[in-house]
Amino acid sequence: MTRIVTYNLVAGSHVGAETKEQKRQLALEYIERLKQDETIEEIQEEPNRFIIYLAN
Amino acid sequence: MAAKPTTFGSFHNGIALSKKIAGGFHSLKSCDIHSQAGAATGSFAFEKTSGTIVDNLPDSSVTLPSGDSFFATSSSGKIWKVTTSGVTSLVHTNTQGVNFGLGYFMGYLYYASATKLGRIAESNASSEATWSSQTDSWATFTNTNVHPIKMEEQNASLFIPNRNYVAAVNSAGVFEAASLDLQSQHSITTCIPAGTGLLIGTWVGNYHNQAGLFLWDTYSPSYIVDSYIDEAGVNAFIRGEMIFIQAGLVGNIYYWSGEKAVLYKRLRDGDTVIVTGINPSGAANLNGLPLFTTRQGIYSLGRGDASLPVAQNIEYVYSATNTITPGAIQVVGGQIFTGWKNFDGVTTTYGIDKLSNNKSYAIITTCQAKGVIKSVKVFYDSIPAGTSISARVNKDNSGFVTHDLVQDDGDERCFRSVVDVMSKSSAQFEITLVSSGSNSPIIDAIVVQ
Repeated sequence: MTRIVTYNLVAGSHVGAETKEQKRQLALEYIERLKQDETIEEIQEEPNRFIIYLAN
Repeated sequence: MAAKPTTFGSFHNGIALSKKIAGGFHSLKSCDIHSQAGAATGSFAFEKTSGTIVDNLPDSSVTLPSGDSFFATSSSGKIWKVTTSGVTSLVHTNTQGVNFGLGYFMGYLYYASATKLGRIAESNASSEATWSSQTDSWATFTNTNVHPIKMEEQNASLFIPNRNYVAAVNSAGVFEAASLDLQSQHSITTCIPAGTGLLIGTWVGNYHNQAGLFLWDTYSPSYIVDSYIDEAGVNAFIRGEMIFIQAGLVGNIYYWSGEKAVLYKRLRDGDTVIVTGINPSGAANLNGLPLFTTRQGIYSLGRGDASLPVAQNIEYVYSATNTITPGAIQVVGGQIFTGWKNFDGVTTTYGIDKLSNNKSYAIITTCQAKGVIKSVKVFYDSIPAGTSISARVNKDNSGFVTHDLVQDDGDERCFRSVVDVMSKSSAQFEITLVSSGSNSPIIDAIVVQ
């Protein structure tokens, strides 16, 4: 069974948190880290989030 | 001139603001003040139920619907199972390192290490004497956890603090690595359902007293309300008739107004400053009575009826009695399990306690009675066979010394002073209700005159 991970790219907090583009970069870094431990079957990028499909 | 009699009898008022304030007590330990309003008796005593199996502080815990509880430690990867009767066993050692939190959601027990979320099916968590079907790295966190955290279910998702992010597992079993982000200085310690939202508490640091409270609806891109307390951090949320917030380093209790934290009480034990720190799993609720673990013991912060004041009381003390580091607490039906670490000056020991059938020695310290104090009388309602009442007196602030009492079982039904105290300006009494097995004296009033 495939495991699914989502990563939100929302603008974040009211004050001081990451912008959407910063969040996108953080999401890409997270995906790179996932690749070290997991087999990624598919990545979908939606306007407000990534959906990552991992092999079990 | 002899002082007028002072009666200390409203035990349900709990521990007072100080020994100078009438209406409460300077200290209450192992004292049941809620079962019968106006009376006091010994609470049930804790006994160690974990033998030698537990070898680090159990500082996170969860109970499954089956009644099996699981405790984990942020000092190693070990996870222990505790059955409803208290039988404790080591079921797993997390290959991803130390455990920072446990949670239960939709048939799975979840456990968080620094960088991974593990899980095991509920039925296997209970049935496997040594786990074999778990997945220690079921999901990967965005940030690295560094302190104990509290997971909570709300709106059909399990929310998991991950430094300044909130991760989640939703009802479809999808792991959401970044459901919410806070400003990077925050490290989320705990969360709790608040209405239809989730209240999030953070730790910022011992030298930056701006602990954050964030109310989030769990759906929107950002939180609805943010509020700050001038404390180092939020240590725990305590479920009660309102949401209590234990914050900072000196035992302060706030409550959540819906938009901000309002200072409510400071935990007190005589003149001792109550040292507190991050302990998100150190809170529970027993039959409507909020409980919180501290070095002194388990505080209760509640009342037996809406007509009574919310009282603080050291309801239970640990089976170990030296320098305690408090851990997680779980209420399972009418039973309580709680983890601790104890340092006796030479050796450090660890354990999980459960309530026994025996009563503790209750220790009640009155506030200060002013004037020339001659004697004390402790009026009892019941003095079962083998039990008794003893006292110490602190005369004119010179320190507590033994003060002999004699039982007057005639009309007065009290224990009274054998010899006069004869203070010059003040006296305080420490009364011990000496239990025997499952019995403890029940007292109505302490009269000082």
